[in-house]
Amino acid sequence: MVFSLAQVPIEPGRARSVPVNSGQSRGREGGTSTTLAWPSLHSLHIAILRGQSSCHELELFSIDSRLPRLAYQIKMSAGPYNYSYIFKYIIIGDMGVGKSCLLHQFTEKKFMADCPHTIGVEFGTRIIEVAGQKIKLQIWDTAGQERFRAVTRSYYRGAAGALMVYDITRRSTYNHLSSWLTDARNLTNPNTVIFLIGNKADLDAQRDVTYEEAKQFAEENGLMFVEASAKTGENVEEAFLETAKKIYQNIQDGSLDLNAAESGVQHKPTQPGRTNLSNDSQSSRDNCSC
Amino acid sequence: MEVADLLSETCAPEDLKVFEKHYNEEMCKGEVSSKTQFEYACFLVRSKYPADIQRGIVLLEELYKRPDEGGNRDFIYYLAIGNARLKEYEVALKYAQGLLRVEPSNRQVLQLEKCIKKKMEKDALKGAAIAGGAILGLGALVGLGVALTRK
Ligand SMILES: Nc1nc2c(ncn2[C@@H]2O[C@H](COP(=O)(O)OP(=O)(O)O)[C@@H](O)[C@H]2O)c(=O)[nH]1
Ligand SMILES: [Mg+2]
Repeated sequence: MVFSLAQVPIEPGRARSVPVNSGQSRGREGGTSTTLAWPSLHSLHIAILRGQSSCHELELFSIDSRLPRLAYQIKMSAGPYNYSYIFKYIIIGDMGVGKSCLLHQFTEKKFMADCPHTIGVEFGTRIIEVAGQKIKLQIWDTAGQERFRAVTRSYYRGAAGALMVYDITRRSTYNHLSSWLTDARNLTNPNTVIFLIGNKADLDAQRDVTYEEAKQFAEENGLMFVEASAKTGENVEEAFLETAKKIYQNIQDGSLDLNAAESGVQHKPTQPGRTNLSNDSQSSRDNCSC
Repeated sequence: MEVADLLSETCAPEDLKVFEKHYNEEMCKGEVSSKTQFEYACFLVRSKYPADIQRGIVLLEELYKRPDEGGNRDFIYYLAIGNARLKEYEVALKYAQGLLRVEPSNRQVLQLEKCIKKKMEKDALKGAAIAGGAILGLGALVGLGVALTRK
């Protein structure tokens, strides 16, 4: 045994315990040992990396005055999930229809007029609430350019929701929908919710596709549909939220099997007080919402 | 499905195999098109194996030097991703910042830069937690001891 501390009572703010090291090094400062044997450090290292120690327990770190900052940071990154589900979305459609602007409008509530072409895929997240449940949307916005098709297709797998976008002022983008839909159907699972968005609704004067025909296309193919504007924000929120509601419904009525590898949904049961450090990598990654 | 962001998500190994095959076939015929090489490289830098990522980086660097590709920004972007995934953060930032010199307000690149910096900090923190153990003194050990003995 390297050291044993099981019987030592811990009180925050007061360190009064005596770790018994493997060697002979006993406390030098009156009852308080400051000598650490290597194996202990080693264990600490392993515990942090393997996530064996819980967040709750790590709070005890702050009993040393040098520690508050470290403990705080670990606590921050190891905090409990503040959402119970993760839904994966993809946004697909021709180049220039406004996919990236829609994502940006949804995650940042801003419109960027001069948006450079997306390189491969862009990533965004936002936490929303459906039926009192916090849900984290993990959104992959794909580049419409043909040169990225191979790369972007690899993100379809396991999507719970797909937003398929065309530009109401450019008929060609509407005409290509059937090929986008074929791709989506082939590469996602049968339960993937596909939502059709006719974007740039603010440019009604330049309209090239009527609402009625798009609505009919959507009905024929079993898609949800709105016209939206990433510029004004009209219906943007709705499109993302309605998709989530539908996915959530599918979970509730059992048609979406969460255990299926490709469901595109992850369930995160929250366990107050016993949040494991292994969450650390997870939540920090989540914070890194690029 | 794995929880993911740009720097930690990985591609499916079977996808990588498909594009490796395309690449090898063209290689056997004597000339690899930029498209095939780019696709293969994009999957390589998303592999979970560092050796693959390294190979992806070499292929991207070669593409970037091809005269007919005119130093395409796409290669630089994926070079930034590849290097960041190898924890070569300084190199990755250099690439990202190179792109930002040309397009200072490119949101996608700004986010990548932010993401690289965050990963960098996180790694530094992990390092500090380990190295810091030496100066943590009693408190850490007490906490840890309790944590371990409870298991
Ligand atoms: N008027 C208007 N312009 C938009 C709208 N959404 C996007 N745009 C513009 O359309 C262009 C392409 O947008 P972008 O999001 O990059 O398209 P993507 O290639 O599908 O990602 C940009 O110049 C945007 O400013 C919209 O709702 N209304
Ligand atoms: Mg885009």
